[in-house]
Amino acid sequence: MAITTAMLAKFKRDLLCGAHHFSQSRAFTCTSSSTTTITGISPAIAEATPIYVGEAVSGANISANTFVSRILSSTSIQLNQAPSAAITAFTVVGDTFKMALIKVGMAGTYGASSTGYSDITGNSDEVSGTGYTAGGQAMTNVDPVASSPSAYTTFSPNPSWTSASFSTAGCMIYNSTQNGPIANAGCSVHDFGGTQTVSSGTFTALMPVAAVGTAILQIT
Amino acid sequence: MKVGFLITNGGPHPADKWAEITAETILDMLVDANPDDDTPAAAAARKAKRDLRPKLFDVLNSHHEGVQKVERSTLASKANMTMAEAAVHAVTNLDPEPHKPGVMDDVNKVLAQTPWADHFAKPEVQEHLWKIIGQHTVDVMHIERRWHHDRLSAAQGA
Repeated sequence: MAITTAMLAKFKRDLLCGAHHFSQSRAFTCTSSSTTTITGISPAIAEATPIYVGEAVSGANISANTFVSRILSSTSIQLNQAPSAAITAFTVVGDTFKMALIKVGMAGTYGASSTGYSDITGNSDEVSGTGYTAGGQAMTNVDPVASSPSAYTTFSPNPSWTSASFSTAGCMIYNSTQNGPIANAGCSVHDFGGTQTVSSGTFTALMPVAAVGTAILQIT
Repeated sequence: MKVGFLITNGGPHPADKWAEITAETILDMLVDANPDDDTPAAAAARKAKRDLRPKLFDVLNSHHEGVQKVERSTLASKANMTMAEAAVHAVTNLDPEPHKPGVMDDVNKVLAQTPWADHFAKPEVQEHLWKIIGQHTVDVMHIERRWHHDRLSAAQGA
């Protein structure tokens, strides 16, 4: 079938529902606390050092699946669950986005109407080969940028597969953190313009320059 | 939102392939005025762009070679790294800033000799230039570290 480079319609809907967190990892200190209310946060929550509701929280004494449930003030947040013991520091991070590669001769059709990673697995369309792990590669978030009248985000470093031997025809960027109705919700699909083959080497997917008009994911 | 790709068989991408990609991405920033015109001004602009390509390539090839050399030297001094440590190292502290002054100085010297010198000297264009060069520098570092991890993995039979 085929791949048509596109931002998925369902991704746009999910953005409107707040289902994707692209923020990069950021560390904070706080007043010692063992309750769900965290105070004395430093640096203060601000444009340059943001915290968003729904972001994952990690650190010593912080249980898995802890997230920010409310912003109480510029120096205080509420978590969905209390730490197991007092904390004086924590890290917030956005969701985990991955790039999965689509095989040559795919059975499915990929474009704006695609749903997510399950489209690839449902059609048995994922690349297999040396150096490629099913699910694709986790990427590192870079804080979204507001550049009037647009906003955009990217990932860095560019995803690379090393010691790799496979062929691919395109890719899908998806969110492996579930915040909405479906798991592994898709963001965008990208056509590589034909068969691309690597042999015992390196395959790097090159994101376009992170700027207005070119960034991999942008709202204009 | 077009995703490009870089493929190298048999190892990491060599510096010259990175230099080509970085140079072409910078050249893409140039919006020629009336590029299809048969006028002396348009012809001069096309010639300047043709002349710029190899000069940019040389500067960037030297830069990426230097980054690889630093990474390989650092990794060689960390031969006792565990695989877990190497995996973490591949994605943390990928800081291109130490390389910035040298490469930006060299690139700006080349760009200063073009008809677009004033354009490239603007702060916002300088920022954009570093986005391109810095990103590829991060990628060079990342890939060297991933190959180090792969070699450790192969040596340990994992």
